[in-house]
Amino acid sequence: MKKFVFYISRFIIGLVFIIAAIPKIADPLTFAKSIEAYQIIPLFLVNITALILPWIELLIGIFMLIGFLLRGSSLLSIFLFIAFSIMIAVTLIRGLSIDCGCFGNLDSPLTIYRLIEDLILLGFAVYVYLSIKKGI
Amino acid sequence: MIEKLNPKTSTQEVLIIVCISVILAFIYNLFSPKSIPWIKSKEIITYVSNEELFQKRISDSLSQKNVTTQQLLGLIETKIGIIIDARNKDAYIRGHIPGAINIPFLDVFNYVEQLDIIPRDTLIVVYCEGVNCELSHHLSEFMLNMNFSRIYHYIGGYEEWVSKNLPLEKEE
Repeated sequence: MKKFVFYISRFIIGLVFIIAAIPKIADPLTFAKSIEAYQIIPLFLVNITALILPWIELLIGIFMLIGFLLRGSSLLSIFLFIAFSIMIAVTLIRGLSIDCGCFGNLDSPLTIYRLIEDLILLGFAVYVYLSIKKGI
Repeated sequence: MIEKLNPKTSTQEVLIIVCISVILAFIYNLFSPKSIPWIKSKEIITYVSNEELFQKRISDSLSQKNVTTQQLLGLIETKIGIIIDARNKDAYIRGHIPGAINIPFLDVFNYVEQLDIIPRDTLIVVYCEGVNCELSHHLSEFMLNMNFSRIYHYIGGYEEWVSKNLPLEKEE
């Protein structure tokens, strides 16, 4: 059962990261504008983030699916989901009306549901990391 | 065999993933037709002249221009044109620039009929949250494709309006 949950968690994280990464890689300008709208990252880091982050997401996604560099992938997933959750929470508290940019294109407004999604995915990532630690 | 987690290995794996990502991003951005500069520079904001705005002089520039807060106040006072709030409905209900109608860009296809009845040469001012918000730009591109010819941005958006303590309208 534990192994099943471990594989399902990897599969979900992997799929989400790959689906999120591809449109961002295809259109970095739109993604850069989405990042800028959050008004959290300094201007000089906006494009650097828009160019590198989708590739990190894509690699994590692929590695989660094929089971390669799983320790690093799960640890990075945890970092990313925590960072995304903080960014979304801060933006919601500030009451900014912006699009999420979570999946690259203009997909949907930033709402509390995005934060809940991120926290659920964070839970999966922590489970994968701890499972490896325990030797599954 | 039980594989124990070695903190050094985890860090090394993270570094490997990040390094590969940087290399791939660099190569991809070098050859991609949609490449962007690594460092973003500040954009220069061009404002429309009062002559063009109030006297219906047709712009000789195809680039999208912006209106100042003062110009927007003038338009509201003289009841010229239509102001469009491109933010989502919740944000609009919480507060918007007086007289503005709401066309949420993220839900724009449900508002096409509302846009369609507006004469194409009407002066339109679109705004969203603030300088970094892109919703108004996307909405104006959408409207340009519908053949609207006089679209301007209130680039400072809702944030600038609020920061200047100007009156707001709220929906009940």
